[in-house]
Formats: sequence, structure tokens, C-alpha cells
Amino acid sequence: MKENLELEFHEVIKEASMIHENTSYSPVIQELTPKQYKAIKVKNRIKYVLKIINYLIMITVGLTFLYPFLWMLVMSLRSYNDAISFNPSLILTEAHWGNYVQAWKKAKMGKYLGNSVIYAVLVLGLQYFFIVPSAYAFARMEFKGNKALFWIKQIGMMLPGEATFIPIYFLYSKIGLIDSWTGLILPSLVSMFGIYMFMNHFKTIPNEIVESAKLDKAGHFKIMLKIMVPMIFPVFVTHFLLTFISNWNSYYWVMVMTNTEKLKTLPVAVRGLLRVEGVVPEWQIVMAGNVIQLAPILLMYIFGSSQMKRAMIGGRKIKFANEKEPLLKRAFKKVSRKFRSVEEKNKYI
Amino acid sequence: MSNSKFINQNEISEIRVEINNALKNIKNNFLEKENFRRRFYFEHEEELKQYKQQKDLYLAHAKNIKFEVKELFNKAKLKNKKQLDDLEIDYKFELEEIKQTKKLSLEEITLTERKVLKEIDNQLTLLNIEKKTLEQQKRPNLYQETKALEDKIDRLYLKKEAAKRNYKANVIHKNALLHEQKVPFLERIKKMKQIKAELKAIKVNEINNIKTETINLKAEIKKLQNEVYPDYAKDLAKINERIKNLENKKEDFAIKFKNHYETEKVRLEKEYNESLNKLNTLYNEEKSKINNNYALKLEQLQKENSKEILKQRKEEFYLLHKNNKAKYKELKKVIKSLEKQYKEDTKQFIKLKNDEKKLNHKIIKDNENILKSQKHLLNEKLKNMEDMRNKIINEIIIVSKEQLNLEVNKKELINNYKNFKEKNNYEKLVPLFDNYDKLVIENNEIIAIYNCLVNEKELIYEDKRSVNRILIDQKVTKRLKNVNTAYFFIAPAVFGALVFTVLPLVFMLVGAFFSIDATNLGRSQFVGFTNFYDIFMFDTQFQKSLVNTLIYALITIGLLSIVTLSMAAWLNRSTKVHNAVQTMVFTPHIASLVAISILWIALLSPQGIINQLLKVFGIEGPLWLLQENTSLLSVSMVTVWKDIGYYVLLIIAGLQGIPAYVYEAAKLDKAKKSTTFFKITVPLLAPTLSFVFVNKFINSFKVFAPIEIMTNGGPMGSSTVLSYWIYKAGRIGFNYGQAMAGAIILTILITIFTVLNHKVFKREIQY
Repeated sequence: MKENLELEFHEVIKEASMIHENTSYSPVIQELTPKQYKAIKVKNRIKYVLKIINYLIMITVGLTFLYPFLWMLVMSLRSYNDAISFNPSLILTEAHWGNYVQAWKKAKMGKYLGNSVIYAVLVLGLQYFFIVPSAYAFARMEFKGNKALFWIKQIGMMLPGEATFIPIYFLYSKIGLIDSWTGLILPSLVSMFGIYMFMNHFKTIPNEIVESAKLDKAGHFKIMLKIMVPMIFPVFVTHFLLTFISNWNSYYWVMVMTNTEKLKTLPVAVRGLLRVEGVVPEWQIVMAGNVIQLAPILLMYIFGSSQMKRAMIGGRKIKFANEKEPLLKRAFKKVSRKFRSVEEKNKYI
Repeated sequence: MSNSKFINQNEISEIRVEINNALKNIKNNFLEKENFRRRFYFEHEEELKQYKQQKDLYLAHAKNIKFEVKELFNKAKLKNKKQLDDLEIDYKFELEEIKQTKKLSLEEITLTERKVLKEIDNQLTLLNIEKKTLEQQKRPNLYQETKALEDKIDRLYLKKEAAKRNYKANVIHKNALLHEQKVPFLERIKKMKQIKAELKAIKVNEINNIKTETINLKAEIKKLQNEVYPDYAKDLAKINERIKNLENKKEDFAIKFKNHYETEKVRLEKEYNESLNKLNTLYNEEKSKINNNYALKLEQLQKENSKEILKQRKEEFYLLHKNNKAKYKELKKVIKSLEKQYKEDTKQFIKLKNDEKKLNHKIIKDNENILKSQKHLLNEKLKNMEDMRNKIINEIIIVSKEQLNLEVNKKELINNYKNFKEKNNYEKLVPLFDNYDKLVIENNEIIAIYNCLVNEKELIYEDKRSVNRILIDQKVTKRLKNVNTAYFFIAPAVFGALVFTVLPLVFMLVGAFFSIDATNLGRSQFVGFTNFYDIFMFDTQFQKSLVNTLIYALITIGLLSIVTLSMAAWLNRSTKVHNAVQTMVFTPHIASLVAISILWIALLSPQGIINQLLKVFGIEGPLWLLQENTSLLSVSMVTVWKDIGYYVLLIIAGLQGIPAYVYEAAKLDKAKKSTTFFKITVPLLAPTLSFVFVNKFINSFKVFAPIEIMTNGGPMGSSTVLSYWIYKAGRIGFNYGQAMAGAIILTILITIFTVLNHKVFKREIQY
């Protein structure tokens, strides 16, 4: 109601200013006749109805994006006879949890899941040892070829992995890196994207802090670890999420650079479920495999959607309504509040 | 100096010199032998290399025979296919000609029929028009005659209305009169009832009269209408007869035409069938000829390349390889023997060195032992000497005592002293003292020699250590002092840039002009632009894929840019509902491409949900992924569906980044909404828009996973994209040169579009 009243007020002022255009510097507020007042009321009601209709349309549009995932979940719990008919309803009569077991056994999910986890953990654990120092050097140190990074990144963007895989494959086969963890990990350990991202954030830190540290005779390594890294900690979170998702979903690189099934990851395994030749694929099992593959990322998305969204668009600034703080921070605050309350009580005692 | 008794330093040095000379000789021998070995290696290196290369060559030839035969077979197959295709095209062309002649002849017949029928129809229509005119001219003055009567009816109607009005007026008038006369209420009502009944009777009478009159008048009008001029019936009959005749004619013609048409049709069909049979026989004959030729060729090829011949060819190469091998083995034997000799020599050398060390140790120890023994001797001698000296001193003391005793008698004493001096041979003591001095000096010398030896030993060890240290320090310091520490920091980045961008680019640019051997890169040959030429002229798959990528990119980018911009403008607020919708729209972007493409295979299958939904609206949906027209479009729709959320969020972030005071300033200047949009939001959004467009272009050009999973290049190659073609040619077909040429074309496409994007969005922004 308050908003409506304010709107009315603004409109009235507008009309008044329109009437007194020649003397627009001294706006005169006219008193409303009952007719005008009624007209304004009707307008506001129409606006309200339109707002509701707009919301309804928006929600339907949003559901078109969400519906397939829900349908996938329902499909994965159907029996074979129900699954063939592609019934679009989301209601389940019986839940067949055996589909998941079957999918697990058929595609050797245990092995491939382990491979995916190892791949993700290796990359996430090792990458910062290589990325952060080089980003720091590009941002803060002086040497020849300081500006080459931008051009190399640009060339790397224009050279897609789909075009360059043949030379890299040759090189790997000469060195013997095909079908090995090091070969799989290497490009993401020294990715230009991550270095560029960290460099941009290192550059935002004011130069005075670094200079004061230098006056205290701190070396480059100390400045990097004790001043710069703590200051841009949120970037680590976004980069961590981004790399985890891209590694978990990576399909082309793993498929191209492995010949045997020793190192293949989950997406390749799920693809293998679909590739039963000559037979119609058993959709309920395929969907179960799909759900297993999607589950960790979707769970992460459910619990930290705003964080994930912010990370996926490269840590740009964006406002979300009613945004919750991240889980760890909340827990920390709760604990600290409790301690504080105990201290306060103790004070009065 | 009595050196003969003690150890001789010169002797030790002589022995050393001898040993050293022997060692030098041995060393020289060793070095000569090594030099000989090295020379031998150097002379025979090229031979060894040649042998290795030849071995590889022969083995590769033996392997490649199979591929060559396969290529021959493929060529024969391709020729056969081309011939068959040409035949089919000719056959279809002739078939269409025959069909068209048949159609045209039938159409001519029908056209003549239609002309005749049209003429008859025209006559019929003319007759009908005459009939109508006759009907209209039944009574020419009817209107003028009936008009008076109709006027009368109108007047009667007016009279009727007037009567009704009179009745009402009279009632009111009478009521008023009664009111004036002040008649009481109940009486007035009674009177009014009477008066009303009287007036109603009068009115009803009048109306009835009028009704009867009007009925009469209407009957008269009907009579007038029904009356007809005298020759009307005859004329009508004549016209009807003519119409009947014409219709009969028409029916007769139709029956005749039907018969004629059927006979003609049968005749034409017979002709058509004959010509068809002829064509078919001709086609089959030619087909069989081509097939026979193909079969003959295949037989020939099989005869030429039968397993035995292949084996023979292989064996030839293997024989060559064996000869080569024998030579190679001989050389290797010689080298091995040389190496054995070298090993033995080295062993001997090491032994000698050890011996030298042992000798050195022995000499030092011997020296030490000798020195110790001599020290003992010297000590004993010294003791003896000291004893002697003591004795002499005692004697001197005794003498001096006697002197003191003899002091009293000076003269006597002097005499005695003189006598005593003469008696005790003082001169005999001098050599003894001399001896003592000599012994001391000798002892000192021996000790000095011993110290020298010890020092030498230590010096040898120290020299070795110091030399090593100095060498290492020089190496490290020289390199480390000149290098900036930054280069250690950026080492991984440099490594990544070199291995994953620069090297592949260079290799790609070079390799596209070679025909590459995967087994041995050294054997690949320079072929110039033939890879590109082959791709563009002969590889239909590549041409299709190139066109498809462009189409795919245009579809996705057009759809995305329209949908995302409008959605971003629509969802750009931060209420709860807006936020929830944003999260919903963003979900597909987080899921992997594999999962989403598998999901959409299910959704787009012929009995899938989307076709069910279309059925509700009464549309029969296409086969989507299994149909040539729609496969690429459906894949692009899926990717668009996936990417909408991402780009919408990006644009929303860009919109939120525009400061609010800009809009306020525009409001103060009373700018319209459209002008604010085009002159403020779009230029301020330019950086984000450029990022978005570049991303879209690159992503749409390198699309791979959805196409690989959903269509596998599609029915009849309708959805092969460049990246998929490269993967097929390079990874599966092992046709590396052509694949790299394709990759270069892909990169060129991407660079062109990115540069265009940068030029479009490159405006300096200031606010």
C-alpha cells in the first residue's frame, strides 16, 4: 500500500509539472478531484493484476527449464514397461530403486566414479601451486615479456581444443603421456584462463600495501602468500567451483586423450550406456546413470545456487534478492554469537 | 750429514716418478684406444642410421601393402558408385520425361472436353437468362397497378393506428371529466369500466373493418400478380425444350467422352508401360554391365593382390630387411667387441689407479715406521750423550772442588792446575760436543721430513675437494645471478603456453602441408596445398560440415541474441520471484552436455514428449533427430535451451553495472524510453555484449559433444559440424594432414568472427 501511495504522489507531481511547464521551477500541487482519484485507483488495480499475470508467465517459462530434470528423475524410477511410453506426467506409482543398481553394475560406475573423483581432486589440489605464482608474477613483477600473457590467452581462445588435439596427441604419444594421469591433468594445471583470472584480481589490490610490505623487506614470495592471497580469497572459491564443474563435465578431452578404459570418467561411461547397438536403449537405466552423473553438481546448486551462479559468470557483481550467506560463514557466526552470549552472561554474573 | 743411515727422500721421489711415468704410459694407451673406438663410431654412425631407417622403411612397406590394396579396392568401389549414380540420374530423367508425355496427352484430351462443355454451359446460361427475363416480363405494368392498392393498405394501417390513439385519448379525456365533476372514487371506477367497454367495442369494430378491407386488397394484389400475359406459357415451354435438348447433348457428350478417355488412357498406359519396360531393361542391362565390370575388376584386383602375392611382396621386403639386419648385426658385433675391450681396459685402468693409491699409502706408512724406529734410536743416543755430558760435568765439578781445595796454596794449585789441565785431556771433549750438536740437527731434519709428508697427504685431499667445490659454485652462480626471480614464478605459465598453444599452432600450420605418417614423422612428405584442394573439391562430407557449421552458428546466435536480450530486460529485477526464475533458467547450464543431450534424445524421440504435446494441438511432429531437415535445427535448439540462462545472467550483471545516476540524468532531460535504451544502455552494455557475442561465436563454432551424442553426424551427414569432421578424420580415420587443414579453416573462421565482433563493439566508453 505504501508503494501505491508513493506512486500516486509521484504521478500527481508529474501532472502538475506538465501543466505548469512554463513555470516548471515552482511546482504547484493540485488537489485531486474525486474523478481523478478514482481513475488513479483503477490504474493501480490494473497494474497489480498485470504484475500477477507477469509473474505467472515468468514461472511457467522457468518451469520449462526445470521440467526435463524432474522428468528425468521420475523416468529413472519407472519400470521398463512404463518407461517405454514416455509418459509426460510427473506422478510415480511405484519406485524401482533397482534401476540405479543395474546402471551401477552395467556401466561399471564404481570404477568410473572413482576416476572422476581422482581427476577432480588431482586438479583441484595441484593447480594453485602453478597458477597463483605465475599470476602474481604477471600482475606485480617486472620482466621482459610481461604483456605476452594477454596475447597468448587470446590465441588460446581462438585455438579451440577441437582443432589442436592432433598436435597434442602426437606430442603425448611421443612422450608417452597418453593413458596417464599427468597427461590428463596437465592442461588444466597450467590453464591460461585461471592465470588470467587471478592476475586481474591481483591487479585490483592497491599498490601502497605492497610497497609498505617491501619497505619491511618482505620478499616476493612472502608478499604473495601473506598479503595477496588472503585478500582475494573469494576468487579462490569461484575458481574452485568453476574448475570442479568443468572437470566433472569434461567429455571431449578425456575421450580424445585416452585409448583404454583405464582412465575414462563418468560422462563417457553414461554415454556408453546409451550406445547399445541394435537394441532400443533401456531408458529407465540410462536416466538412472544420468542422475548419478548429475547428482553432485545439482546438489551443490540446490544448496548454494547464488554462489554457483556468481561463480559461473566469472565472479561478476550481481545482486540477488534474499541472498543467504555461505554455509561456513553462517556456522561461524552462530558459534561466535553463542560464545559472545556466554561471555555477556558471565559479565553480569 | 749422514743421510745414508736414515730414509732417503730422493729415493721416494724417484719411485714416485717411476710410478707416475708408468701410469702416464698406461693412460696414453687407454686414451689412444678410446680415440680409436670413437673414430670407429663416428665413421660408422651414418651406416648405422641408414640401416635403422631402412629397417623402418621395409617394415612400414610391409605394413602399408595392406593399406595400398585397400585404397585400390576403395577406388574401384568409388568408380562403380559414380557410374551407378550417373546411370540412376539418367534413368530418373527419362522416367520423368515419359511420365510427363503421358500426363500432357491426357491433359490435352481433358482440355478439349472442357472446351466443349464450356460452350454448352454458356448456351445453357444464356437460355436461363432468357427464362429469367421472361419471368420478369410476365406482367410489365404490375408495379404501377399494385401501387394504388398498396397505398390504400398503408392508409388503412394509419386509420387503425388512429383508432387506437382515439381510444386511449377518449379514455383519458373521460377520466379527466369525471375527475372535474368530483365523482367519488369507487363510483368513478365503475363508470370508467363501463365507458372503457363501450369505447373498446367501437374500436374493435373499426379495426375489424379495416382488417377485412386490407385482406381484400391483398387478395387483389395477388390476383394481379398471378395474372400473366397470353404467350408466356408457349415461350416458357420452348425455352424448356431447348434447355432439355442441351442437357441431353451434354450427357451424351459426357458418356462419349468417358469412353473415349478410358480407351485413350488404356492406350497411353500401354505405351507408358512399354517404354518403361524398355527403359528398365536398358537400365538393368547397363547396371549389370557395370556390376560385371566391377566384379571383373574386383576379381582382377583380388587375383593381383591375392594373399600369396601379398605374402611374396611382404617376404621380399622381409628378405631385404633380413639382409639389412645381418649387416647391422655384424657392425653391432664389432662395436660390442670394442666395447668389451673398452670395459676391460677401464677395469685395468681402475686397478692400476687403485694400485697407485695403495702404493702411496704403503710408502707413507713405511716412512712413518722408519721414522719411528729412527726416533727411538736417536732418543737412545741422546740419552747416552746426556749421560756422557753429566759424567763430564761431574768430573768438572770434582775438578773445581779440588781447585777450591787447592786455592790456599796458590802456587801449588796453579802448578797443580797446570798439571791437571795437562793431565785431563780437555781437547778430547770437543768432538763429543760436536757429535751431540750433529745429532740434534739430524733429529730436527727427520721431524721436518715427517711433517712434510703429512702435509703433502692433507694437501692432496684438500685439492680434490676444493676443485670440485669451485667447479660447482662457478656453474651455479654464473646462471643464477643473471636470472630474474620472476622467471621462476612464470615457469609453469610459459610451459603451458608453449605446449598447449604455441607448439600445436606451429605444428598445425606446418603439418597441414604434409602427408603425415603416424608411425614415423620423418617419412612424411611435403605436398603443398593438396590437402586443402582435396578437402574443398572432393570431400563432400567436409563441404557439408562447413555449410552446416555456418548454418548452426547463425541459427544459435540469432535465436540466442533475440531471446537472451529480451529475457534479460524482462528478468532484470531483484525480487524473490525474479530470482527464483533466474535460478530455474540457469539450471541447464550447470549440467554436463552429455547428460543434457541424452535427456533430449528421450524428449525428441518420435514418441517423445514434444511430439505428444504437438499432437494435443493437432500437429503431427517431425522425427526431429532422425530426419534430414530437422536434425541440425533440433540440436541447435537444445544448445540454445542450455545456454539461455548463462547469457541472461551475464547481461543482467552488465545491466546492473550501469550506474543509476546516468538514468536519472536522462530523466531530468525528459528523454524518451527508446532513446535512453539506444543511446545509454546499449553503448554502456557494449563490453559485456562483446564478451557475450565472442563467447557465443566460439562456442557455436566448436560444438562437438551434442552432435556426437545426439546424431552422430546425423542422417546422411546432415548434421556433421567441422569439429566433428576433424575428430572423425583425425582420430578415427588417421588422415592427419587433411584433419589439420580442416582445423586451420576452423581457426580462421573463429578469428574472422572474433575480429569482426571486436570491431563492432570497439567504442571508447566514458561516463
